[in-house]
Amino acid sequence: MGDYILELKDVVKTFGGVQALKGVSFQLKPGEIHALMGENGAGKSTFIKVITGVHQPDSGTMLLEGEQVTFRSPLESARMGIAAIYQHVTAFPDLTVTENIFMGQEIKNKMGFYNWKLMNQKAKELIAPLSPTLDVRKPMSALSVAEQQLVEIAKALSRNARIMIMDEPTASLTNHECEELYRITENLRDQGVSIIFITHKFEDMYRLASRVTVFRDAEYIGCWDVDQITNHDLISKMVGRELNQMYPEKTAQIGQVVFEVEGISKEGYFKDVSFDVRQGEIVALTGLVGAGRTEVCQSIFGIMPPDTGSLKLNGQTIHVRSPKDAFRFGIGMLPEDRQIQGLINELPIYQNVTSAAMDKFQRYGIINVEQEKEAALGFCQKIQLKAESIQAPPSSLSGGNQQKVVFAKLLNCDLKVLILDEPTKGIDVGAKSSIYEIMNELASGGYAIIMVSSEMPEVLGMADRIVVMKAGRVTGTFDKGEATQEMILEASLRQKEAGA
Amino acid sequence: MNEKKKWKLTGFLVQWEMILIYLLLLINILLMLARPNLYFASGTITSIIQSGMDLCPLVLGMALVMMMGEIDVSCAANMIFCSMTTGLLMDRGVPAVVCVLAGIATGVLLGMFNGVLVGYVGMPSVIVTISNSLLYRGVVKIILDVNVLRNFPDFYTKLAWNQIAGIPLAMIIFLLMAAVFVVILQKTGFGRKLYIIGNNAVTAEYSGINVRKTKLAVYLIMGVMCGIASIFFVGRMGGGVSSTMGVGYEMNAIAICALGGISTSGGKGKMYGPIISTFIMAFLIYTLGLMGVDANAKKTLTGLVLLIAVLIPNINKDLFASVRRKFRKI
Repeated sequence: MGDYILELKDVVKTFGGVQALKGVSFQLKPGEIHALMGENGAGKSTFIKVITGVHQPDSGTMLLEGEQVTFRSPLESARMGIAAIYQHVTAFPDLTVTENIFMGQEIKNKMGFYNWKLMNQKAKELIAPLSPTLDVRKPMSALSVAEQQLVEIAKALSRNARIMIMDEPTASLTNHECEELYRITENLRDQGVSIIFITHKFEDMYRLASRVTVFRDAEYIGCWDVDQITNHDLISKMVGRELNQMYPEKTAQIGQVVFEVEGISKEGYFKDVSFDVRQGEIVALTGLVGAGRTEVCQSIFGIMPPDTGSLKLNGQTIHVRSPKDAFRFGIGMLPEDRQIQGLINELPIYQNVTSAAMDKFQRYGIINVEQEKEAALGFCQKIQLKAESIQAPPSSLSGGNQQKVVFAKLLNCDLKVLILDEPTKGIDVGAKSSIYEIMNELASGGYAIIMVSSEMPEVLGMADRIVVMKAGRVTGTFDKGEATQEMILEASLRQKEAGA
Repeated sequence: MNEKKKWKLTGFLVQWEMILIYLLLLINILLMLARPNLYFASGTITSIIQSGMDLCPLVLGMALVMMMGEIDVSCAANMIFCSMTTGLLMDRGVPAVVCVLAGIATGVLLGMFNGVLVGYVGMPSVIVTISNSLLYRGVVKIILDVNVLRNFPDFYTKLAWNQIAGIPLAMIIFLLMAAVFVVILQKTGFGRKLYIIGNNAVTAEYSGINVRKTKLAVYLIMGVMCGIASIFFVGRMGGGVSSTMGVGYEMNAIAICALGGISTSGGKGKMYGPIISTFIMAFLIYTLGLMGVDANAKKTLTGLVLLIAVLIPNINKDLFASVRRKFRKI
């Protein structure tokens, strides 16, 4: 079996009573890019942690270049040339790039002091092929997510990694940054590094990988050459069932203009942004990451009120100075980061659902818990939340179901306008389509929906109208029929002059 | 998905508040066995409870503050400041009712200062309240110097030392106030907001909760409780107050809340815990006194209790995990 640089056989890992890996196998050829795909919770992350020695498998074997190895800690696997670059970059934000790269392997001079000059120089040499302009003396926190990943890669290279594991590196990158990452990844491969590339995006896989392994429900489903499997087959392997249609047929009747944004500006974020949303309509706000879409939504929602410009609801000018105001006017927001902004992970689901409109269940300030639970249960059933009980905390749910909890929270408020900021971020394929169903139903129910999304297929599949932003300005507005991927991309890269 | 979680006896019996009750009983039994004559002597239990009531209003306020994930280290200084206001006005012959209300109003004002700095300016509450603790007590020291205020309404000492049918008056008042606080924290929308803010203040903001206002409100309540605590405290001290009194009371209050299961990082625990813990602390300190433990060593106890209370949740997790691992091996 000398064909493989890394081989795992029948690896089993259990946590408590839960089987996180049910006897999975995996083979990595030297110098290949191998995509690992599967829904969230399929066991990919656990699998990586087993390879790097964070977790020890209960049974099964791991062969590194044909020899059986066991790693008791990430330190041991690092010594053998295995490096992992995690989805959430694990760097020290306040330390410089150099300090991060040489963390734990600092170069000392004869006196035993750190030789920063030499380290800075070496760091520069490591980073240069990846990003020639990056200043290694900058703190990590001053870098973009993409740049931080490059630093992680440089760090891995500094440790002579032969096997590199990348856990969803493209999840928070713009298209342009993805291209850059593809190029670097290919370079690494050409230098003989074997790469395991975990991803949710099919573009990544087609672009880079020669082979793809699919996990589902902690089991090994199979391994194929990328050019021998169709997109459709791959999805059904990942989901375990046929997925006929990703985007539901639009059923909503589009009515009157409900909500108008007129020339709002916020110094340093966006300038002169205008658009409107009609009843039953889904308007997508798209563009590259950093174009100011989220900031526009936060302004509308009162998190950071705009400097100038006005908002109109049903023709009346409204002043939204806080989220509380926004809810009062009937504007609700599903925030981008549900863990930090959307959920209260320690409190039961029903309390999460009612948290944005508790007044409904209060009399003289006292909460009527029975009434509250009943209402919460109703909303949870309406959106088909899969949970053991509404008493359970959201932390016990999958990403898709957690997102549904946030949706239920918005349903509990009497809203007219819904702002959905990246509603399917970090959600697996199966759950995505059910989120789309919910959005469609909400539109049919008369909500005016503003959706921020970076995913082109999602924008084209769901939106009735598409507003494209670039560097804080609106650079294009398209109707559903006329928009193509190229037009949107062109608008999101277009220079200055505000369009349409 | 079912609406109701089944009520389980085992679950009820091992929840933290019940463990606190066992602890209270255990201390009582130990005391009973060690000094049966004393324990059953009339008045012993009463005086133990009375000894622990002087800071009880602070505990109630602190529970709300800590539930939000904040802290108030200035409450003892605030309490002394309130006592001083009342005492100085009494010296000038102002009617007692006005003096008492002015004392409480002082507490509200100083609490508001904390609340504005924490809620609206956004400073960390530890720093704000440590600074303000020095500030408040400093002002008291400047004004009072080494003088002792002795002129307080009669009901102060009555409240602290009298009893109705063997039940300490202070405890009755404490339990009445405690009942109100249980309702506030466990039953009202306001209480729910504290849980939400303590768990995730950002989500709270995104859910349309006015986090700043809520924080200010809690510090105002804490201020009221400091004012009320001044009544309990001055009464307990026999109707006199000097600038050096009540040092370290804030730490006792924090320790009691932590022992009561209110997480120091916020969002966890129930109001019952600190209420039971107030009694535990009273019995614990009294028992140690009987065993001849030095008065200074008792301060060490507060520190230990606080440490252990904060440690327990962490230990618990590891302990349960390791026990489970061992069982699986067998």
